[in-house]
Amino acid sequence: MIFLSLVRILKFSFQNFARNIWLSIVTITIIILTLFSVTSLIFVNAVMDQAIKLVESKVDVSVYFKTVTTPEQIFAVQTNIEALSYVEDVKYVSKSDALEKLRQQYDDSPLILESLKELDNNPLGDTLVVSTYETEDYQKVIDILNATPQYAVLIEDQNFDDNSYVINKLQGISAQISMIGWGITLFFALISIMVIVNTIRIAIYTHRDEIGIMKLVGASNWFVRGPFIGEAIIYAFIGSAITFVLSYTVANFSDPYIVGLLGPVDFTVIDYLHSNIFLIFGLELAGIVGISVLSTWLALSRYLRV
Amino acid sequence: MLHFKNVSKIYPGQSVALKNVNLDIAPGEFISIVGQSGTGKTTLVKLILAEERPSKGHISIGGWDITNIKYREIPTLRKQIGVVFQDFKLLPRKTLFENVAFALQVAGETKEKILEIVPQVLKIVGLEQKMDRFPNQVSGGEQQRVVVARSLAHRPKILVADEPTGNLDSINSRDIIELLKKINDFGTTVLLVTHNREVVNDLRKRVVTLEDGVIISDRERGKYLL
Repeated sequence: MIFLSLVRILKFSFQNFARNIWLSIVTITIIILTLFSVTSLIFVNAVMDQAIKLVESKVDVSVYFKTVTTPEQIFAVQTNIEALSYVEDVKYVSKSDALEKLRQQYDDSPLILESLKELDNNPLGDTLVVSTYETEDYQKVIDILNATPQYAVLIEDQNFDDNSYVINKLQGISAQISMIGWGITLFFALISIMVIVNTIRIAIYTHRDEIGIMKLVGASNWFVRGPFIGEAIIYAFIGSAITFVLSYTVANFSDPYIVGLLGPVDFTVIDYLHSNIFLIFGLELAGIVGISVLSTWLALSRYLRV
Repeated sequence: MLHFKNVSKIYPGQSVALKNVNLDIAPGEFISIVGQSGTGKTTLVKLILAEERPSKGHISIGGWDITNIKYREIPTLRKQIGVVFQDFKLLPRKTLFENVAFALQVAGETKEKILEIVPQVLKIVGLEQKMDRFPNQVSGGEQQRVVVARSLAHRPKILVADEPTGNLDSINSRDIIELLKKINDFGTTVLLVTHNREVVNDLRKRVVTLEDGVIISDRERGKYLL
């Protein structure tokens, strides 16, 4: 009996969906617009995160040692800094490498190259380039270098002061963009939920007489609710599937532009989509099924008291 | 079959629809409830279908006291009653066949049984050739015949017809009344609510007359009094 009822409810769901095709198309279109907007905002947030990471990766602290400092003394400092848990990498650049780098950098500037040739000795000292995992940890590295007297006597200069402004600004911008991005996503999701709930309410309202008739013929609440809930689930699945295809296409289409925007980074929207496929589409599907079923249930309750 | 004992129905605002109604309807009886608009005829039907609860008194159908029927028991009650309404009440997204089948599907009948019964009842009402059409593709008289077919399909103990000829011309009205008589001949109790004088007088069956929610007349072979 229960199995027979379930089969009939499923059959009625598909039948109603097909026989009310225009209302079905309108509801599915609203679902697609909603899901696609949310997916697009997720993409934009991911690209923004990536852009911020890219800029952050360009930030480091260079510690310039006095020319008299021996490589052994510098290696000792390097080992100590590397031991810090928040330090990602410490690169040693010898004075000759630094000079070579400088020459390459000003390859098209004969005046500077001539000036360098005029010098008898290499004026540059050895350098340690320090990168940390988080930008806020650069200050800690600098504090340690300044607070330790045996290091301070070896160091000529460090360029953190220049970077600290950029780092602080970046942290602020990064946090704000992330907050605004997710805020907009949440706001849009709420508007979308309201649109979907009302679309379903209108759809149910158009069938209110039908619901009353079913009840008068002796249908139980479950037998009336079932096909409407089935229809809502069909809307949600079709809407999600089309959004998936649409998002995939848009991701494919936009990747060359993203690469052009960010430069040579290890990030594409397609890769992001692949690695978060279940999180993005799984949650969207679950959310939309939940919203559709709940709003159908609530909208129906009003007309079931016959 | 159907018993009303001191039944009153008072709506909010002290609007009295029925007052101390006592009515006993025997199995297989054909009874007409007549009265002008607003005399409580439709309230009586709503009480039978448990759409409304009585304010006072007791109602029982086939020995089942439905006075304080539980909400979850209402579908079971309605599966035992056939209903014909003035405004047809067909499901617009279902064909005529599916409309009749629906009454059997809610009762949990098997597919084989449905395929056997539905064409039979549609044949009784003369619509076996149009069973694949949708309600908006047939006339008002035909729609009402489908409703009669639907109310017959699950072999109800009692058939309640609330102004079944209200939206029909005289020829279609006569057809519907003939159908109801035929159904009554098969043994089903028929309760006809109407204000159609001609129909009631032609029937020459029991007539109960309501006025201002009170039964003012109950005659075995009655006429339309008002």
